[in-house]
Amino acid sequence: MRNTLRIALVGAALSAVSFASAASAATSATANATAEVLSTLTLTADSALNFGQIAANTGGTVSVNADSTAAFSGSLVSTGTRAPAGFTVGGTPNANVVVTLPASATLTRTTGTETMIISGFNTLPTGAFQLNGTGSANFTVGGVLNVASGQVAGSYAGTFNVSVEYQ
Amino acid sequence: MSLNTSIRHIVLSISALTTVLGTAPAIAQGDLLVAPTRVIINGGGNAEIVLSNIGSQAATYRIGAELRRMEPDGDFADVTEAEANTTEKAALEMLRYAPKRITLLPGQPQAIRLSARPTPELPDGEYRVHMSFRAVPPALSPEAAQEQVAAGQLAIRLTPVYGITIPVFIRKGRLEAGATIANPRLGGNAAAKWLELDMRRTGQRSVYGEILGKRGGEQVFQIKGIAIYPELQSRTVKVPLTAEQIGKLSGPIRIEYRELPENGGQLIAEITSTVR
Repeated sequence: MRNTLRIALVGAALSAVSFASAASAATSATANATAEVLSTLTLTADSALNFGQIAANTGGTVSVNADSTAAFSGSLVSTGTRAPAGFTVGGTPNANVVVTLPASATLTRTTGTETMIISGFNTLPTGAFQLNGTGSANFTVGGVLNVASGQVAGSYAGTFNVSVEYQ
Repeated sequence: MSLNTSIRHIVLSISALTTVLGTAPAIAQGDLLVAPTRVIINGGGNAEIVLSNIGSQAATYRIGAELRRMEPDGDFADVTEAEANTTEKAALEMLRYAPKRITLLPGQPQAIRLSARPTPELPDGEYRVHMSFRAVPPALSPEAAQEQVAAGQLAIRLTPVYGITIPVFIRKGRLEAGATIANPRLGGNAAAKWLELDMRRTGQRSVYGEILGKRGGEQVFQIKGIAIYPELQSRTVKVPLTAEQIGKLSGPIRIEYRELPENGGQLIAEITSTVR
């Protein structure tokens, strides 16, 4: 029994495309034991958060919002392509999905200790959302880059966590 | 579809307005599939979760345990270890899992083993950890690291570390739970319309299921995967609706909260009401 389930599960995991048939196979194995086996969740990155090209004199912020609007404050000038990060979620049709983001993320100068903060992470759709009838949904992530006055020149690197979960 | 996330460059010019733009090198970061998407361990035991690389290149994944709290609108708040309460700390401490980092070829699945053993002195209750599976961004290539900006310039590389989390519930003792639905009402803005519900939970554990809306014998709407976690007594739920669905909401509507069909489909709560 256990092995049968494992095979069905790995079959599902191996090929997202043929998942529906693998899931049906698992369903017929047993109703109760496969309950948690049937659902899968996939996440694919489509595009990255891009703040464009920024020229700064005395600091300020650059906002790239999840709805693709952009703004800047202070003496910053922002040009070029500015776009939120885009992701595709795949899973059970009509299922509810939640995106979790950190409050902020830190960028550190690669050859130093100076930092810059990205805060105000936001998503579109806002809050929990529902996968469509074919089990798919897209969401975007934006944020606010905070550039300090007299920010030390150099190359800054950082990461931020994006995670999705069935509710 | 798989698309590699590349590291972005954001180029700032601090003293000069001269534009300097770095090109973004294409770097593999793993798209992923995880199954199952909920794990319940009753009283202590083992479970397996399968992680599969659905991208087109080999990728490395990091497996971790994180904490979340549900908010009254159903969103999750990230909880750091420093902010964790006693229950959350106990949940983290009783969970063991391996491996913690794996590299997978495209299409390759791998099982992650977990086990949880609540200690005898822990009070009965539901303990929850959110297992995370994240694609590790590749290290900066030497060329990219060398690609220093000119004097007075500032470059930023911001990489999303994206992944999937799934709740792992460890239940100790005999736990009961129930729920009620109240106050179905229409809401919306220019872009979207929805049905909003107030839901209340009682008992010592979470409740989980789907919400179905029926008028006469016809199912008008359905939303799967609605949970109320033990940190909440009540929450709101928004069910997105099309204009066609709203047209069917005249007169009394029966709204049911049921266990998922694969879990037996038992009725948890129901209300028959007109929607305002």
